[in-house]
Amino acid sequence: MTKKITKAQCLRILINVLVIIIATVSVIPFILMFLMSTQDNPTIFAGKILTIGHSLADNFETILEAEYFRSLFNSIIVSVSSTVLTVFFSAMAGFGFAKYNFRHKKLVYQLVILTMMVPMEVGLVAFVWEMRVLRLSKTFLPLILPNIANAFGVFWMTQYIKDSFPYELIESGRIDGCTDMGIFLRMALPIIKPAIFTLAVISFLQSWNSYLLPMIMINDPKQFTVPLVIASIGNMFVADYGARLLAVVVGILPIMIIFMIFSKQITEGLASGAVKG
Amino acid sequence: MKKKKICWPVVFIAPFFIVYGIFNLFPILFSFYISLTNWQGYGAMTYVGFGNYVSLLKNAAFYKSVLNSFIIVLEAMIPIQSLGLILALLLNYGIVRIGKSYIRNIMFLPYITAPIAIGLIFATLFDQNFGAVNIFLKSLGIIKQNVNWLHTESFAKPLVSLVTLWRYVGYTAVIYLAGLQSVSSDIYEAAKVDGASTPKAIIHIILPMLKPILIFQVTNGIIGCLKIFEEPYMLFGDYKGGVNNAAQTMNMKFLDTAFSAGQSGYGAATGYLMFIIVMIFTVAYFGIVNRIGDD
Repeated sequence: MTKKITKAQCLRILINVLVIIIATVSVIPFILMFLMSTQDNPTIFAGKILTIGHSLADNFETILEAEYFRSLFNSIIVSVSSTVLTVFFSAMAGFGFAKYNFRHKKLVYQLVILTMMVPMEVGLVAFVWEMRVLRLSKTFLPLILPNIANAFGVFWMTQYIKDSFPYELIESGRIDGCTDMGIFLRMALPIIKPAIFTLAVISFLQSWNSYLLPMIMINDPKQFTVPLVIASIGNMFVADYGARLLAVVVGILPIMIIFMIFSKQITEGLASGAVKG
Repeated sequence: MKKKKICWPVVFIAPFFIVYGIFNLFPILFSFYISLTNWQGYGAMTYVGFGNYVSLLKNAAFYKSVLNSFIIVLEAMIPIQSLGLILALLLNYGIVRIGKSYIRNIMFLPYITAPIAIGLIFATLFDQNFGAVNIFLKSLGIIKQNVNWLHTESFAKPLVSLVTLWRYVGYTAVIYLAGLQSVSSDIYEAAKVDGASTPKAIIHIILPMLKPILIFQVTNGIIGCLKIFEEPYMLFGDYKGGVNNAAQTMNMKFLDTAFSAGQSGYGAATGYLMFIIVMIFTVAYFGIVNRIGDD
């Protein structure tokens, strides 16, 4: 009897260890990257990658000289404006789908979902042409505009508003003399704050990590976003591997911090999007 | 005074379609027109009919990139889904006790990291001279000489699959975990009371209920993985995909043609043909999935 229990316990410990190993494998590349970002070339080439180096300050100075922080600033501008617009347009459309009945509503909603099927790459060649014709090529707008019509956002908002914003509130708003737009702005938006927040974080993540559009649209290094800098890091710090990795660390740290703080909302948001879909 | 009646649903929903129409749909349609021209990225667009498509269909490198993408997806998806599901089951049925939420968060980190950064990190880890992988294997005595991972043809595709696996496995597990939590625990408990063993309850009761999420996950995973290009781009340093284009994915081939000088029309055709291939695959895939679903 006692032997059987020990066997089960053994198995449990084994499984625990296995899961922890898999979780560790997930972070090892990050840890190595953090360690290497504190080292200089001789340390790295000597293969002492598991030590904390003493060149963090030097490496920091190197990326400071390369005006790396301008790219952080650029990324913030692009991601924040992209996020605000995405959330606003999604919430509006979601409100329209969740709280009104009109002819062919189902069909129109399916059209929104259908837009998810065609990848952006298909239209990329003409998009570059379009931006040139509209004289927007030298601005950040090409990195923002194609993200605004976000089918996932509309889907997400429709689901949430359906469940959480009762129709009676619209009625009472109308009686008080509010227009429907006023009801949306003043009553609906505050109530759906949790959904707004989750969608905002997800959009911000996507925009911050996006490489394809910046790579094609941005030529001026002064306008580089973080992923562009990371991609061209080999040319910026020719053979300074510590500085390279420090640039990566600084580039992905904001996202990691945001994730650490809001991990619950992010994982739940992404997961429920998948489970409901 | 008569108030003008405003059609509110239109006011709320139209902006989405207007923005989509101008900045997404128009480029998609106009790209199709460009794909029928020999446009060079500037100057006139001369109509050439389906000439670009015909020469693409004769292009061996095009087929290779399509095949590469599908092989990489296959090599990555099988371990991603099976490991993800197993992890989720272990986390959900209380077999793992220690810091469940910590483990969940840690496993999620690769997914939220910029793919371009992931590519650079792995290029560093697999570097021939100072990469951690070589150092580690050497210290264990598994290899004697440093392996040139990034410039060996046979390692190219597995490496990309490995990076993809690392990026998606935690995310996949978290999604499965959410699915498991949405399955009522009463059903599981009832099965246990009726005398079913834990593995039996999981296989016969829980997995069938998870099927919709399973299908969603696999579908999404395949479509997402087919698009990958940032990781191999950073691993191999260009859009060629390593020695002999061994890991040149569809998207890399597309970007390589569409945005190199003088090939915009041809590039647009490349993009369209790849999209059509993925669509055909998706339709066939759904046909199979639905047939399995009916049985």
